[in-house]
Amino acid sequence: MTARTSIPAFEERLSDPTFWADPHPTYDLLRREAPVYWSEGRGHWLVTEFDLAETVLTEPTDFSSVGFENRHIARLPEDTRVRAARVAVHFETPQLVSSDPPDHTRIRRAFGSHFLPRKVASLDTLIRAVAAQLLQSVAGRQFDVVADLAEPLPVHVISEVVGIPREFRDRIPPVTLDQREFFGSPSIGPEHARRFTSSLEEWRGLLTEWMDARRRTPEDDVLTRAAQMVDEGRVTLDEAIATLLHLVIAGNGTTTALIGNAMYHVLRHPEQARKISANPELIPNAIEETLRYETPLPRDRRIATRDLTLGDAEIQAGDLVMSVLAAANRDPNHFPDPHRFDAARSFRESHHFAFGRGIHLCLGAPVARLEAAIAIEALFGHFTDLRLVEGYEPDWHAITTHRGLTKLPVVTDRR
Amino acid sequence: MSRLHVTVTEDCAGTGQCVLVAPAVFGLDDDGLSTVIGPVDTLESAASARLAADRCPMGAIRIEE
Repeated sequence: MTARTSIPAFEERLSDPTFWADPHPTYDLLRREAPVYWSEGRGHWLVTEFDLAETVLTEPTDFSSVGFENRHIARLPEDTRVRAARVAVHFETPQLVSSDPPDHTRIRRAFGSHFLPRKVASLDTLIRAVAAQLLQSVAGRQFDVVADLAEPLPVHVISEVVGIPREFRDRIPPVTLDQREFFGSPSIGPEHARRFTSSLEEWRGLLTEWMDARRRTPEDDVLTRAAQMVDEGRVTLDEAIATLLHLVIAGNGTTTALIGNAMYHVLRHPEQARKISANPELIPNAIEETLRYETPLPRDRRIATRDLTLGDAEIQAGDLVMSVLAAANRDPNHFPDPHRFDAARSFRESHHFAFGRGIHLCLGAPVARLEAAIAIEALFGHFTDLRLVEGYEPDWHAITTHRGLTKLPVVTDRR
Repeated sequence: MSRLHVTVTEDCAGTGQCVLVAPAVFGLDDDGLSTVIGPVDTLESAASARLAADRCPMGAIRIEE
């Protein structure tokens, strides 16, 4: 039985600046030596084995989704923490990712109707039109898949689904970045907390205003649904606001990462790229393999509700437990030859963890899958000879919460 | 064992979690929503149906003895 014992050699690897370039040698080591590992430096347990990660994700009575954000805020230096008081209040409100049953079930049911399979399938035409328009405006023989397609496409799509007016859409990337850095950057300061506080305040005001507008003129969007759910007493106004903002933020940054990661790994394997380019029906499986191989949301957080044993580790009530989805997705007991990117890999035996498991399974997963598949299809449809810029070295965002490329420059001779 | 009565309620959102854990009991219909496709009359199928109910994000699986 191991209680909280950190191992200096592991701590060193986890805090090494080169860790993010390729975290998998470290995750492999942890999975072999300590699949449930207490990191003193990170202040949480890391669960790297598939079956154990699945246990954490699917037993919400033992592993709660409530309280992570405020735990994070409590660990910040005082000058930053005092400026994040409003952020703390915002994240105390139950919403999809920070609630347990029965709140979670209630909120999920209230907002689920806009993410039903038929509803998502009806976005196909819109997504294709936006992707085509974005690619038509690309100039020159070289362009950046991230800035020119992977960033704007999901912002546009989630705005349509939620009902964000056009003139406010350019405010989505900044608040997304603020939240991502606030929870994922190793060095955030008072200025950052102040900025995130003011963008949260601004969004809370806007969302309230737009819900009022939908009461007068209903539309077929999530804002209308949210206003209706508040009026029927199924969710509180604060819950509606927190959930709406979560959908906007979660609905774009992760999909941006997925599109960039998919295109990068496909292009890195020219033979697979040729096959996919000629057979677009292979793209959805290539997206699944990207989700497994380069998981955009590499970890999911829970808090232990009681003293318990997981694997051979003794976890105490209140401990923060991170399921490392990116590591579970490369567990050799579930995925043969896990470090090989194989766009044709079969997921019949084991399904990857990229969207989580159990009750918190990503609500927007079908939208993300559809957007990513259409983005890749559109790229190959417009430019049949796309390739990575010579000498390109991937530059990953240096944050713990997301795995995505800062840019992905590609070249074409045919346009 | 006696047969369990399993139903999928209108809260189903087609997340497919039940099909992953209990493929002999649940399938997806033409709308992409879950539907009961097989009997739950063995210990194994009962256990997998209960697991599916536990993991359903929408709490949309009802099981009656």
